[in-house]
Amino acid sequence: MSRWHIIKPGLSSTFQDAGRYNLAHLGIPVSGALDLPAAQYANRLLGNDINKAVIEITLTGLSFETECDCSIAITGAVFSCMRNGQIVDHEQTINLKTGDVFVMKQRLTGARAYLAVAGGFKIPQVLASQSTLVSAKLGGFQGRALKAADVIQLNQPQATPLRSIASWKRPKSQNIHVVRALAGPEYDFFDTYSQESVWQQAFEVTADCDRMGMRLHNKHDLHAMKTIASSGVIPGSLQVTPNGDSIMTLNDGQVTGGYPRILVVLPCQLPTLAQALPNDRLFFYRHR
Amino acid sequence: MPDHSPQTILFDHDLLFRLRTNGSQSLIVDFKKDSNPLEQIHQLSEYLLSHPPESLINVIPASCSVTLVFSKNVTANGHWQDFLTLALDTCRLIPIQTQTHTIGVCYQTQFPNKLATDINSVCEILQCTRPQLIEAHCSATYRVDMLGFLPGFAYLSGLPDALQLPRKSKPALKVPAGGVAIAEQYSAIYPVDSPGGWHLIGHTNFKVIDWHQSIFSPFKPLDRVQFVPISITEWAAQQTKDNR
Repeated sequence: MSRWHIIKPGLSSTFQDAGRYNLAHLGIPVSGALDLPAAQYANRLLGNDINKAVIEITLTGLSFETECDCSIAITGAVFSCMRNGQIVDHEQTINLKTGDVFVMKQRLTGARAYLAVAGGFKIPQVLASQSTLVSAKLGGFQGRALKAADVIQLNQPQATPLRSIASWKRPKSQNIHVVRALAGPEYDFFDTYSQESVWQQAFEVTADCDRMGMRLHNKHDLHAMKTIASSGVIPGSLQVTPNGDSIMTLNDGQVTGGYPRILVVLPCQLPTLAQALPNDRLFFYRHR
Repeated sequence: MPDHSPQTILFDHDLLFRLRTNGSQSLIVDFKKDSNPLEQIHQLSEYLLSHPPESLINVIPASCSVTLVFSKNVTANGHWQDFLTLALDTCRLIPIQTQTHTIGVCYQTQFPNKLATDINSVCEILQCTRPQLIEAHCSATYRVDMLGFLPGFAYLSGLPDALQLPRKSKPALKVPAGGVAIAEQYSAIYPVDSPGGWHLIGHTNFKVIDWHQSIFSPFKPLDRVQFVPISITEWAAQQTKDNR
């Protein structure tokens, strides 16, 4: 049978593809892989359609037993990986035989890894996407993160030629990230001090992070002088709460929100946010 | 001689909306709050969804704005100003199809899963009895102002003034799917189990989302909603029917 048995699910492992579009007016966020280039790269290495669903693995690794021969690739965050207890090279695609147990052990760099299989996973399309939206129990594997003993069906597993993964496409082990951004739609509502300090101070990533958003800690409070009516919020918006805290919106975030946005990061910088770890520091660089 | 034809004056929308950039790939179309723009907002959204300009990937209507999201870089320039002015003219001709949903709500407190956990505290805050609260909540006809927070979560405006109160200071960790709640000027039905800061006053078996249907939510913007009270026996009978 073409399937895998999940042994350990990891902290939060969900199926994600390129996301769900043209549905935000119904309250549906875009979802999809937070580090989309990494997810697409995993598919490309295996000769899949690049927008096929992959498993997004957050902070702790996943392990499974395969019931068939297959080829896999893991991109994004780097984990030390083992096949039947033997360390395997994570810098390339990996071939597995029936009965092999594959274990992702220690995380080395980055926050989110992407696991793809040649031929793809057999996951239904819901509202034109295979992405999981946990908050609404929508899509992916039964609308939830993977659990131990889940059985995942594969499409048509196949062996692919070994291809190696370019090391420069891996997140580096750095704890300071520079993120390019534009002044947000409510930038003018903030006092001058906030407008200056947002481009100068460090924003520390707190442990309060998920696919909806990341709560950031900023030493110098940001202060908006006006409140706003709720309006559409896109991933990458830095929302500031009335007590001066900042929340970076990510792909599963609510589609509307009522907090003023001091900046919006460039879409090409979202993968950097996806790979930032708690206690890492972000500096926003004003793109002109 | 410059041509001042009547049309140019008649269709001047310069004062009607304002365009702002929202990051590099999104625009916000703001409407004047006091112009009662909701119908226009939904007409424009529907028009843009059915006639999308190139690279448009999402349209987000809200109470006084429409946010457009693109897959390419855009700026709030004259091109988009003109495009939206024209779109606003055209979309007026499209009538919005709406319907009225009559929804049975059980306002019981005790049995079986504490359906209306906050009804007593709400009565205390609002200084009313439970029958008064139920009557007031069912007397109004509500309108779907917008969908958001969660898929299928409709902000239902029209809550009587007497029932308006702020959100809870501490959100509940789990509000059940079907929970009927009130906060500020809105009432709402929780589509799925989720955390929530609104006051839970009842429960309905009306399905707000069903991912197995092609039209997954019965609510569309500007639809009307009427609540009717049902007894715990009727509620339980509906439950058994749904689970069969």
